[in-house]
Amino acid sequence: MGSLELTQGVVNAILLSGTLALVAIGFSIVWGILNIINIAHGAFIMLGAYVTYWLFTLFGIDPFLSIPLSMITLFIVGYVIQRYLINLVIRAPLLVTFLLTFALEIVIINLATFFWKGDLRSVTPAYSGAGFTIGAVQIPYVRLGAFAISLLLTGLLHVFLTYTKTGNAIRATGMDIDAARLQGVKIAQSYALTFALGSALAGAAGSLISISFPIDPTMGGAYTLRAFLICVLGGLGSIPGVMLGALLYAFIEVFSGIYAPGLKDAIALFVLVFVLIVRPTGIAGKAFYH
Amino acid sequence: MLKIENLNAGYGDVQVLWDVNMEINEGEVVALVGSNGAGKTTLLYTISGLIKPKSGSIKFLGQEIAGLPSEDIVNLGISQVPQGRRLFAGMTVKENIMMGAYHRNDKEKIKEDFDFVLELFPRMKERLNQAAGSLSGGEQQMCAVARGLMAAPKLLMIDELSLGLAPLVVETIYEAIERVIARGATVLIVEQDVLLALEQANRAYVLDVGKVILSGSSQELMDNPMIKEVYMGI
Repeated sequence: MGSLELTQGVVNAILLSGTLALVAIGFSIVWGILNIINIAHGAFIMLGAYVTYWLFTLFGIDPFLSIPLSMITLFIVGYVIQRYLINLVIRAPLLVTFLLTFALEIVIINLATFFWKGDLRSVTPAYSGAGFTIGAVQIPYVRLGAFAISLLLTGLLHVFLTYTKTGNAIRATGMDIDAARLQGVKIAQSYALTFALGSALAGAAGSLISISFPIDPTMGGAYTLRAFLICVLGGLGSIPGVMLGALLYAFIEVFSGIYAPGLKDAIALFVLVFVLIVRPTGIAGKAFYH
Repeated sequence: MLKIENLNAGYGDVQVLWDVNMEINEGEVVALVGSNGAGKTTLLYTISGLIKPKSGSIKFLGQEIAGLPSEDIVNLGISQVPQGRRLFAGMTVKENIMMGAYHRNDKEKIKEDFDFVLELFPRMKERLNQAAGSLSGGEQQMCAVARGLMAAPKLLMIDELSLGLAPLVVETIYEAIERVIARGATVLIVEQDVLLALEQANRAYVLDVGKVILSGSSQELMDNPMIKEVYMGI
């Protein structure tokens, strides 16, 4: 394998890490703040992808422009699901919420398959195949755009959590519920908002994925697994942790695709086990949202 | 200001407080003392709304607050510096202190109070951008008291301030609290260190296995032979 292939691989991995960070970040805040492993996260990503697909197919709306709509839609979906469903079992053991979100995933996927059929679909704007080259390295516009938007949204989330009163209340809730309540934080509201934000970010990730890859109702499961691996790799509870985990995972995915296709998940899990042995808190450790 | 009548409370099926009666008047400093496991923290949690009482009444400024959600109780003017400090470890000192003012919207007054607590605890000024989890125990307690004060409480409740801290640090923090008291604050001090609490307070209640077994002025309790023997080891 030549140095060109290597360079192209590195560029691909970096571009992919942006989207993967966005895939994982919503999963991570929900896990970190609500202590819920949201199995339905991938289904939310799928819904976001379909929002973009339908807006493009029916109304010709540019997929990048549909991202805010996809986020708003998923924000509402997430808020309602948390407030009226997950909130009922919020104090229950992890296994109960695990099962509930698992069931939720199945329901969402079944409904999507029922209404939209199981066909693979693609969002194909005029520029979808276009790109530019630096030296001999190819950089497709859509991948670069997805990377930039992922970084932008991740940055905005960081700003929101760090510099706004509501963001601080969310972080406080994740660190010590009772102490947060003593400051007057309404926990149910904090939770619903966090879940809604996590869902909105999943929606954005789905929109970006739909521009680069074909979509179908069952696409989400693979992304839930990726989000889980990235969170554990990077360490739960911080944005830099997720980005680090996403970068590492993107390199594993891209390079195992070159050297050992088919072993991608095995290699990722092997690295995961190794990281957990060496550093049980994940690479960045448990920081609880900054 | 605060009037508790026949309060029963606990966790699940385990009842901790039995028919507790207690009263705090405006401008008073009241101590709640008792040994480990007497129910002091449970009483504070119940007042703050973290625990729902089984029965009984808690009136604050004439309003029934028993069973209200905690955010409403903070809004009414009761703030708590919880046992073990319970800071938000991953947040900075400044963020922690400002969380105390979370329920307030009076920006200018918040700024004034912020300057005041920094003046009370100059050490916090040097540490503003440091993670609260990286502070020493004494500094964490200062941060927790500062956070409690930022709520601009009408009634401030402080739970086990001295626990695990060096006497000199405890003294420094109590000196700061005395300044707050001098401004007319109403304070409920909960302590295992009975002598320390009685020195601060006008009046005191003694809680034992969930019941108020004794109450009176601090001087009366200090002279009480049972208190001397059981709690002060004299």
